[in-house]
Amino acid sequence: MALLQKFTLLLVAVPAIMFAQAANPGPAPSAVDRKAFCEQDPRPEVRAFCDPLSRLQEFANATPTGGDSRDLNQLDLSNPSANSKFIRVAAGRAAVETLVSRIQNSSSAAASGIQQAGQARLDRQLSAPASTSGSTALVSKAGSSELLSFALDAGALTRSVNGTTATLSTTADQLFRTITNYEPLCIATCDYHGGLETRLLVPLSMAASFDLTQRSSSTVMTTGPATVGSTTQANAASIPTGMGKLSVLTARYEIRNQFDARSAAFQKNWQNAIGTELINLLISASASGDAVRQILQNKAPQLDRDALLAVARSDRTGSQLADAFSSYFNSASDQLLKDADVLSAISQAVRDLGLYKNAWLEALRKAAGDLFTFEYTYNKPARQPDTHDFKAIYAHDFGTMGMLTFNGTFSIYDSLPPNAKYGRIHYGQVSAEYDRNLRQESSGFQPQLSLAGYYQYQPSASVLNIPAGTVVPGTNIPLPNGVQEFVGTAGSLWVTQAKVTIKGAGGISIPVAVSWSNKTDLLQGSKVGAQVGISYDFSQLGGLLGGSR
Amino acid sequence: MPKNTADIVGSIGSQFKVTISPEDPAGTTGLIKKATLKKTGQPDKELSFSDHDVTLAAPDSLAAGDSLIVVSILWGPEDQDAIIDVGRVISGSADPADPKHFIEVDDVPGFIQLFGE
Repeated sequence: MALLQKFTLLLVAVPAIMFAQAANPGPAPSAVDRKAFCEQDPRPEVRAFCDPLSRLQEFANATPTGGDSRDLNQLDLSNPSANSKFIRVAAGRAAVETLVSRIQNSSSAAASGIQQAGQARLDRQLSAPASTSGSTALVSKAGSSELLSFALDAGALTRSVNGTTATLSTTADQLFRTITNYEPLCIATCDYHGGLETRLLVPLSMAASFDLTQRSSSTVMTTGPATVGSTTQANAASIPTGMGKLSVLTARYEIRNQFDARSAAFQKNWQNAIGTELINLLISASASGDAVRQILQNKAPQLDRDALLAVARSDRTGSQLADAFSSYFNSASDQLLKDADVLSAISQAVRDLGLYKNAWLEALRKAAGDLFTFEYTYNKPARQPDTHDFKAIYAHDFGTMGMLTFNGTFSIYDSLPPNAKYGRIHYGQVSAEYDRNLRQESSGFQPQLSLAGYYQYQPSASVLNIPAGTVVPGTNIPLPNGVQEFVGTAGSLWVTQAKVTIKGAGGISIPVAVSWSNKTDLLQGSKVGAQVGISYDFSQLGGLLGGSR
Repeated sequence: MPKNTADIVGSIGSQFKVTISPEDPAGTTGLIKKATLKKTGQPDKELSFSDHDVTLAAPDSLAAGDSLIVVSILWGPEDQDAIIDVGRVISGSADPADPKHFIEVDDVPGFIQLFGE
């Protein structure tokens, strides 16, 4: 809620400040605030080109005659120096127009081989946690999806009831950038130190899991019998409202090592983190960016450099320069974005930049060091009390030797009924998983091997909610509403799992696993189970909305 | 790209190194990972490069008129703009613009505009 309030305040305050500035030109800006007229401007093109605009204004204020090719190059859309900024600003405007062509172009992108981006990552958590009735993940991973992922998992690990779970995961920062189109394609220039974005949005990811074997229903009042001669009348009826019921909500917060980008240690780690995939994606993004440049050099209207410089000299505040540039940019981009070649080229460039950004962020994670991730999960299991789970996740990457991930979890019941014979503590657990890619090179299909062990201690037996209307077995005596019964046993629960995940091109993963447990939450006796799933990482389509991770 | 907007102007046939912030001991600018010379009507040429410079040398010396070097630069966190300059001149003459132009941080790709006269 606080975030929403801050965001609303920002939306209201920024235009107000800008209008106040426009109405009162005042004295010439000092060197310190030379960007004030453009860096908070509500117009994305003015914000994106704020550096060359502010330098040009500074030059115009300092020199009454002469030209400034350096900054005018960067403002002239027909000049290569303006290319990258144009792509980033035009991405949002082009998104809707390119939706269809982007999907059509997906086959050519697959042919280019860059859809294997991110395939080698071992640290992503895409499926539901082990405590759900459908999960392929015995141990939670430290990383998360980059923009949006969808996973479908079948088979229980610690639960007695096998189910099917659909999980939707997203990252707060990319969701924010994508929806607001706020610098969705910044890479090295994103703010990585301090501020709301770095402290809250970047490390935060969220997931919601739906148990597809449960049906949602709601009770509605009836309006009378529909047949003649009914002797009984029902006043209310339960109607199904859909397949699937929200069973788990998860929020994850990654704590990254602080780093000093100028330190020798970080520079060494950064050099080591730059892999072949990152360089290949950079070269792909460069090639598609250059394709845009070739079109713009032929089709973009040239900037009237003398006229723009004259505007800058006529108003020392920069306000008129911003207006004049915005007018030029909008006129030019309106014309360019009607051209199918431009749209197609921008579409490809945005997509390739998005994939490059994903790999770049992964390299940054590696360079910064090991991760701690804290995870909070609100569980709503079928016919069992709701629980809150608090999990700490630590991962250590051994590079080509694989990755080790450790979990420690503390679970408590949401509430206790009066006279409960059990306490708030549900269970505590520790688990570990070793993951390794079975092929080192990128390929069409990348198999990943995972071996995991899980130990859980539960001080009381599991609690089962008895639904209203249940009768005592062998009688017709109804049990009162709210009755709970102990089922299963207290004590230790062991689970081991072996899993192979086939990670295909384009963000698709198919995990297949077998597990053994000494018991399950409701039943005694060992159990051998199988789990299978499929997940899709939508970061491949991130550019649709002007951003991706 | 007329002469007065080029990043570097040199004599036709000159050979030299183009540098981007070579005096960067603490890793404050990006690293070049690929450099391609482009001239309208001619096939692209891959140029030799190191982290902070690109070599324009025979048989790919400076052509008459406009030509362009497309550089794939891997920018690091907190990097700064890369200043385009002329390093060692092997033959002929070459001079950077005054003031020197630069490739803005996060530009993918970066472009270096040349003019031969």
